[in-house]
Amino acid sequence: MSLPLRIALRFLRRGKWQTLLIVIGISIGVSVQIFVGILLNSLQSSLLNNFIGNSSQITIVSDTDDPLIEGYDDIVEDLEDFDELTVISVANDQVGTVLIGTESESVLLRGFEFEEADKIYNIAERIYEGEEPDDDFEAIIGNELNDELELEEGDKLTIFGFITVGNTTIPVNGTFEIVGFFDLGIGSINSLWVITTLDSVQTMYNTSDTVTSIEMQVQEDLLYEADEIADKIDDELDLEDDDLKITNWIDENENLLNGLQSQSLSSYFIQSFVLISVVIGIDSVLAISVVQKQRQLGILKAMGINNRTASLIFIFQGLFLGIAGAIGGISLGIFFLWGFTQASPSDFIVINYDPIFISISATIIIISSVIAALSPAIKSSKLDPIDIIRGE
Amino acid sequence: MANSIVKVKNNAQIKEKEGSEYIIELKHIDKFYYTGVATQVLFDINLQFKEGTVNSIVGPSGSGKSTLMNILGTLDKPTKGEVYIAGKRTDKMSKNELAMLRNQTIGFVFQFHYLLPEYTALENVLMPFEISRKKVTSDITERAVDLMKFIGIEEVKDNLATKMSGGQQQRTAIARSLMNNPKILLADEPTGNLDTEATDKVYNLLRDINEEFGTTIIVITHERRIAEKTDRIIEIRDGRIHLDLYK
Repeated sequence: MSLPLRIALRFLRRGKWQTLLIVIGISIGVSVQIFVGILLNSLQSSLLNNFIGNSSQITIVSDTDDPLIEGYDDIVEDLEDFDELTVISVANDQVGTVLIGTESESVLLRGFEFEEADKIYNIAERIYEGEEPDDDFEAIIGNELNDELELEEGDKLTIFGFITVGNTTIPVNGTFEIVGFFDLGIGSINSLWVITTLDSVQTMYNTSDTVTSIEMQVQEDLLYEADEIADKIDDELDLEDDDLKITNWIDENENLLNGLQSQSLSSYFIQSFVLISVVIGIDSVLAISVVQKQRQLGILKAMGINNRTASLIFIFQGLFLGIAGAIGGISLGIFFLWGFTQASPSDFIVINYDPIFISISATIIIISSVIAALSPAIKSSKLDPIDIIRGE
Repeated sequence: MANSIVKVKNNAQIKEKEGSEYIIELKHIDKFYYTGVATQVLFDINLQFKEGTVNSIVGPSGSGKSTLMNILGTLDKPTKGEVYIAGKRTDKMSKNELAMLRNQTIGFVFQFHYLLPEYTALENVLMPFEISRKKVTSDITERAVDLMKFIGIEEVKDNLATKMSGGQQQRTAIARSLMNNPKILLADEPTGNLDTEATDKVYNLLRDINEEFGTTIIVITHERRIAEKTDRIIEIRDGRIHLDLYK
């Protein structure tokens, strides 16, 4: 071990209460940074997972009064060439009504190819009773809708709708067997959606070989590039020529995105302020230490330590305080997060103990500690032994 | 013509220096302090110290003796003049060169001991060796313990500096100053804080060190009684050599 490192450790060890206090101070600062950083990152991930992860991120719909898209198979085939897309799911959505006693209630009849739609909406996992619709005219409904309908598995539900042929509106209806009940976690969906097979909706509304939307999800790391991917699809498939338009979650959720970005920004601000206060703390403690140790430094210099070694003593002290503070702070921060998850009544936020974020935080705090030690180190380097000896 | 005379004279000086019998030489030393106004504290000091001698510098407070000692120890630089230590001119050396020279050639003993309170007596004694960046082997530790035995503080070798009496601390500082076998030992009022008995012990010890190791010793003291025990007494008054007395 080098001489300045040994002297640094000895100085810290002999002033153990002072060392302990500053390590606790740094640890608390780091723990706040880890806590705030990880909590807000996890909150964002949970928000995205819940609202964006389980919804269509890019959607193709009709750009005319007629919502039906014909020849969708060709479009899906073209979309399969885009590596950025992870899910391509078609849906035929129609508005209908159901009778509850003497009153009618609007519902949204969603005809899916269930396997693909499930990759977006994660429905199968959230069917709390029964199973997914498999055959034609099987359907599942949300818990809130069923609170009013009070149906049981195997019961029938008749849905009424209209189709327009030329200028004439013709009433249609379809009777569905309820095979399950879901809870997708969003009240409006649970009270509005009736999920069935694509063929069932096409048959009931006489809209064979058509869909009303093509829904897509992108790779997780490209989530914030959904708008660019949508533009690329639009350009390459010439959707406008087919009277289609493409939307994406970023354009549709500008407010949510602004909110998330503001949250990130506020998180960075909080973390920066904490970091600044930790750096100032280390700097002032080491600056005091230079004054406290100037007699020792003076005699060490008189005995022949050079300026570089004298400054390295404080650099190593900063390094050690940074490492100890980082270890303490990360442990404390993880403990606070664990406490938060224990105290939190809901499991909405899934804490992601991101090792990259933790490693970056630790590295930043250690580098900052060394930077904080620079000014005391320079003071130590400039200290002239004659001033100490003459000062007595 | 005048220039060539100067040149001849300088060459003669160089020849004298090369074959010098002096371990320390001060030539025409002036020292000013600048605190708003320039104050001259040393005036054209010329001094030589022979190797292996015991010397004392005496004088009243403010006479400039500590300034002179600091220049001898390379802790301070003269405003004008030349300083030679062991044949090397030091007033032009860099701070790092001076640090190395001090570590290898000069041992210091100060009035206020200046031990490192974070270290034990033995660790304090070993410190100059550690600063020289050599490995502390068991032989070196043994040598440090032998030095402490010689100085009579072996029993407190594992005590922290703060857990020793003033006399023990001062003797530890003396042991430390000898650790690197310095050619010169500079002691600035080394007994200023000690009682008469401890003072006598320290001076007897310095004399023993001189006889045992051949170390050149220069002591600053304001006590005439102590100075009279040395081979040479240099009295400084108002920044000038007032008396230079060999016994």
